[in-house]
Amino acid sequence: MGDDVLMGRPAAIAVLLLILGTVVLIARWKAQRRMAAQGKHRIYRGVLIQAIGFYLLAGFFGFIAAFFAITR
Amino acid sequence: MQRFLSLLALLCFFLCSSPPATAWDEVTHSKIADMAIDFVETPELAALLRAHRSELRSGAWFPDWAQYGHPFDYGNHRSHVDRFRAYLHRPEVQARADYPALVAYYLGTYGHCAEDFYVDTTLEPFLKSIDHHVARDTEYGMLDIKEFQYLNLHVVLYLPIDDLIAIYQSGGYFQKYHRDPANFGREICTVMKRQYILMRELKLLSFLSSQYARSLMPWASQHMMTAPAGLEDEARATAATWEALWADLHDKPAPFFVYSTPLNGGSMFTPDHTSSYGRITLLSWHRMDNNRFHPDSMTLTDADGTITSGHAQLGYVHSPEEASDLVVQFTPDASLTPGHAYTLTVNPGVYGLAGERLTTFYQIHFMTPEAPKISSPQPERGWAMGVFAMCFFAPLALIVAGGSGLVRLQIDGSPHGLLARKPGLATGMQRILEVAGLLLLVIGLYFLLTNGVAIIDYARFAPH
Repeated sequence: MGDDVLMGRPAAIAVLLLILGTVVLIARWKAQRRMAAQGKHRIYRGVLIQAIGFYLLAGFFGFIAAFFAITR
Repeated sequence: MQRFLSLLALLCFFLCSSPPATAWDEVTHSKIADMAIDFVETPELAALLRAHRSELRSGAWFPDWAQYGHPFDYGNHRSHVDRFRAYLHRPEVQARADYPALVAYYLGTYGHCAEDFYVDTTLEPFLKSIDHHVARDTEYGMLDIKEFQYLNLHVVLYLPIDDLIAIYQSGGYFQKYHRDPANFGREICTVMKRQYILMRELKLLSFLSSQYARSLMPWASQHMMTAPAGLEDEARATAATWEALWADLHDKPAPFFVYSTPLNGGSMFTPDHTSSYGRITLLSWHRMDNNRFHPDSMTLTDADGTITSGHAQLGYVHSPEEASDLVVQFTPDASLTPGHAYTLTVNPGVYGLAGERLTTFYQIHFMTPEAPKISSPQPERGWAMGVFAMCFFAPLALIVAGGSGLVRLQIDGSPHGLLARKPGLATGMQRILEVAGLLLLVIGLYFLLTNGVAIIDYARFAPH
């Protein structure tokens, strides 16, 4: 009763953030490869930081979902 | 600034939920009900309660969700439990196989009422006089966490909807409020679902702010379990109430008063008559009528037989509509003498709302302490909400600030695109994202350093 909302919503947000983090990492990897083919070496540190942010925020919402799952 | 921070706090904390309302009660009442089983002396009753814990705990939940099922008011709510007992006396109900479950549900319901009336006239006013910060029932739940460790309700919900409809019909509820009995079950489920979600959200709030609540109420946090009318005392009072109700359900006599603070043979907490702990509080299983207590109904005498003047009043009466209660208090006109023995005598008479009579003199003997038993523990520092907020804002800051990297990646990926053609725009965007990320980090640090007090205060006093 109500668990679907309480656990489902933060869990869904966490999954979405994980996907976003992975998407930007893949984009970064592809861009690095493309640039390497042109003889340029790029690190895109900002994108890496952003991906870490997405994963950490996913952890935050994962914690909320886990809390509601444990204390049901 | 305060408004801005409050809004941010609201966004942060309730991103995946809605603001809390007033009370946590169900978990605490449910826990008290569970504790009270161990204080029940009648073996048959104890066995019934152990066999029907879920029904008991579901019943303990009843009074709160019944209030949410507007237009239940407190008077209606109290009269309801009397109708429930009359319903349980019906032979056709007693013959049913699920009768023990119904009895457990009823006892849970009644226990909740007795606990509320008892704590609100003793412990709560005392806490307000000591810690000055008790705002809502929610706070009790936050304090409980320290003792209970876990936040689980541990209940398989039991809802005797058909019985509740029959009981409500017997009280004319549906006619009075123009409600349809056919919709009652659905309405109950809607209300309970809302309450259940609220209760779960409050668990998270309590988990994150319990340290803060304890820092505001150091005395309560240390004594909540053992104080007069604290959780253990309430469990004993509840068990005593159940014993009387059990006797009544079996048509056996039961004492008019079932519990007292101070206990018979015990010691008063403080002789100060201005404190709620400096009064003598009696708990009955009958709803008493405020108009039936007169100046000569109760007498307080010391060991020499000297009468100490005072007056008796029902604890929970705030308006003429609430002229009945399970709790009556005797308040001395002056503080009692420390280290002395006293006896409170209640004269026989009709005190019950339905004409129930105290047939014999009721007496409790107690001592006053040499000094008030009030210690001042050190407040503790809360950090959980601050860390929680930081865990939200720091990643958000990384995501936003990291957006500058995305701009760079976009320029490299589209060397003839808008951003590449306008380096000023790209640089501006990068700077804005970096500053915004820094700002979010500062907000997170603010909450971390202030222990998230702004969030807690907002959540505590948020309108519902």
